[in-house]
Parts: sequence; structure tokens; C-alpha cells
Amino acid sequence: MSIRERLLLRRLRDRDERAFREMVEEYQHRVFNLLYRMIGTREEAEDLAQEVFVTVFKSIDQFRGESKFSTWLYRVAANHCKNRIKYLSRRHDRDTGVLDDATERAAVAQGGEPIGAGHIKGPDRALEGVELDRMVQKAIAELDEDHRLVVVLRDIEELSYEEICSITGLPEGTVKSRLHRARLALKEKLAKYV
Amino acid sequence: MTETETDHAAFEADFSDLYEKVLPPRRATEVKTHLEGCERCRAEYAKFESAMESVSGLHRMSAPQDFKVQLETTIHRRSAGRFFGRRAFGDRVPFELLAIVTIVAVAALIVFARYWR
Repeated sequence: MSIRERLLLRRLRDRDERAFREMVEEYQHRVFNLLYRMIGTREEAEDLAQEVFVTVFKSIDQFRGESKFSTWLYRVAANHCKNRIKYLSRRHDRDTGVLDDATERAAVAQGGEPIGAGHIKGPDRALEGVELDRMVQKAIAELDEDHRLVVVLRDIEELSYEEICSITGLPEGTVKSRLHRARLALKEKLAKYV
Repeated sequence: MTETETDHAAFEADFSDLYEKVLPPRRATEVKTHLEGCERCRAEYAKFESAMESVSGLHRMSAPQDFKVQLETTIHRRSAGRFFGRRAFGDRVPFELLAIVTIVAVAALIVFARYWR
């Protein structure tokens, strides 16, 4: 952990309200993006993101500082995801992966930038980009949750294998194996769209 | 020499490492040489690369603009305002100090009660 993280952690343990705001400011979008890509709907992701930060703040004393703070935060988020996915499937919620038009158009209109290459310009190309994002999100949502998690952590959040192992509690070999199977599955699902 | 399904599967098993550029040099050369000569695997790898570029090119979703405010409201509501520590006597009183004061006060009461008898 860096010195900055240690200082922030100490202030969080002191229940410093300003430290809490700084922490949320720094991590809210990353956490939200992870949750959205795992759960698939904005409303659920917003609700879950709140729960994640509440849990982080309530259990900050349990974080021993053996990993980076962000790694621990992602671990909390991943555990919340798993529980929420189980709850939603028990509730027979079928809306697990479809990105609604309004949400994605709003994201594009707000200037949401693609993470990697393939920036789309122009209104027609923007719509193509929206449609492609919809297909990709649908494909990701069709993966089982274990495969989905490693794809989101590695290929979307761009975390290292070491961090992913720490978040999931899995050995590197298992992470890589799951990731490869997930990627092959995505290759097949997206073949007709890309 | 005709290639078997096992051969194609063996090369496909290295697609992730090839994409991430972490294959050992000799194996990377073997895989690239195979891709140059095998139309089927070349097509599969092209699909693989496209899929990976699409996934990594997803728009990053942002939390709602009022997320922080909503969160603080939630925490204050659930903790009845106690969670961030109310200010008392002009500043938050550390729990350790309260504990020490309490112990001393109880000990003093016990001593006083014994002396009073």
C-alpha cells in the first residue's frame, strides 16, 4: 500500500467524513462500472454500489492492509455481485443483461469514452457503437458469473492477474483458464457482430 | 502433414497468451507460423481479436451525478447520524479516553464505597 493509501485508511478508520468523500470520489465510477458490467442493469448497479460503499465503511477496521485498498474494495464489490446475482436468479429476474437504449444513449451523450480503441465518430457511427456495446454487454451477461467476473476484471477493468487472484481468492492458473474459456465463448457469441 | 482437431485446439489454447503477448518467444513463433499457414485458425484468431477489442472498447459507465449525496444520505439515515462521530465538547472524544475515564470513575466509586463502610 502506498503512503497516501495508508493515510486515507487511517482517516477512514477515524470515521473522517472528508476521507470518506475522497474515497467515494476516487472509486465510485470504477465500482459502478464493474457492478454494471456484472449485473447488467443500471438500477441494480446503482443500488448495489451504495451497498458496497456502506459495507466498505462499516467494515473498514477489518481491512488489514495486506493488499491495495482498491483490491479490497473490488473484492467487496465482487462478493456483493455474487450475492445479488444469486438473489436475482432466485427471484427469476430475466432482465440480466440487456442494456436499454436510453441508458446507453445517455452514456454516449454524456461523452462516455470507450476504454480502449475503436472510438466512434458521427451520429450514425455513434449509434453503431451503441448497438455494438449492447451486443457485447448481452454476450458478457450470458457468461456464467465466474467467467463474467474474470472477463470484467481483466478485459474491462484492466487489472493485473495478481490483483484478480487477490480479489477472487483463486490461483493464477484457474484465473487464466477461466478467462481463456470466457474469451472463447465471447468470440463465438460476437462472431456475427464484429 | 494434415492437422488434426487436436492440433487446432492446441493452437487455440494459446490465443489468450498470444493476444496478451506473454507467450514464450519460441511458442509465439510456432503459433504465428501456424496462423500464417492455417486459414481456419487465422480466421478464428481474427474473430478472437475482434471480440477482445470490442470488450475492451466498451463505454465506461459512470455512477450517477448525485451518487455521493445519495450515499451520504443513506449512511446518515442508517446510522441515525452517529456513523461519522458526533462532535462533543468541541471535538470528537476518542473512545479510548472515554473508556479510561469510565474505568477510573468505577474504580474510584468502588474504593469510596469500601472506605465509606
